[in-house]
Amino acid sequence: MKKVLCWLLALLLTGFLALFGASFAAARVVEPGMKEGGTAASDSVQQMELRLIREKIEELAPIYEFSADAALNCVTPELVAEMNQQTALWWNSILVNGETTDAPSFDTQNLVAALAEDYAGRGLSAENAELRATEAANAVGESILRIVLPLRLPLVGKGLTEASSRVDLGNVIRFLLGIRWAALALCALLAGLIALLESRNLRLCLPYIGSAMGASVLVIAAGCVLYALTGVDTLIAGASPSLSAQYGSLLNSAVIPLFVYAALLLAGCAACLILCRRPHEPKAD
Amino acid sequence: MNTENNRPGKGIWLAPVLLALPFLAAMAFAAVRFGPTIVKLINAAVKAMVVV
Repeated sequence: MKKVLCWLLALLLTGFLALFGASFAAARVVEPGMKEGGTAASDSVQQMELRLIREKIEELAPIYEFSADAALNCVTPELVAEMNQQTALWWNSILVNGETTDAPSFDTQNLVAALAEDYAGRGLSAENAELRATEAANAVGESILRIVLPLRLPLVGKGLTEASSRVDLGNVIRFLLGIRWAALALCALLAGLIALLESRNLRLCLPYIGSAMGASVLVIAAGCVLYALTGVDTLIAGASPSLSAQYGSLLNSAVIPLFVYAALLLAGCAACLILCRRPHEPKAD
Repeated sequence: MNTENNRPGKGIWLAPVLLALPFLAAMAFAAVRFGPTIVKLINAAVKAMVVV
């Protein structure tokens, strides 16, 4: 009876160890965005965005009949970094307060001036050059915004307003982030209960705790396989290359800690199962 | 207590697999039963939210 109870507790321990791993990985994705001021995209993502913006400008140049170089001179890495900082603030407001602040915007003033000069150089009157430059700069600005934050912002805002009228989103996110600590506390409690049932003899607890550790690695691995099978990455990559890069960067920040956690659990499982099978050496008095 | 008599055999290495089985079965059931719906929902959400 005692053994059955211990194995049942080990089963629960397996679930909570896996839950801790999953919630820990999820927190690694969400928490940086909740810091004051948010966390902008990584340098590699910003470089990719800059490349996509330059490609888009080269694509727009023949359509709006402006010199791509004139527009490219206005698109600097600093500008992309600033746009990403605005995006980070936008996400931060959603995650902390559950509401959107002003959407990131692109100041077209410099671009309009550069393009107006370019149009004027092509023989257009000052008024016409200004008009066409404004039109082209708006198109370029919209493309830049679409690359840095490729979401339908009105739809997101409407969804958030609807959700906020029902629940306090900020509190819900903070509650979800707390799940990992609750899971960890329950793991400690369950391990303690197993130890109590086995008369506080650590050696007798090892098979249960070690097995639970190994089993949770299998559950985490199965979860990862199921996630891969959903093909979310491919769906996002198909929809927007820049969003795919941003998502990939976020995912990487969760994958490495999850991998380390699984490796630790596996090592713990091996250590527990090897130790519990070692012949007992009685203490020499 | 004589712990020497309670030493588990080689079969203990199968214990993690047996412990994981209920979870794996539940996950497999959920994947088969709800997987296609979830993928469709994600697909629809991505299409609705992302500006192409």
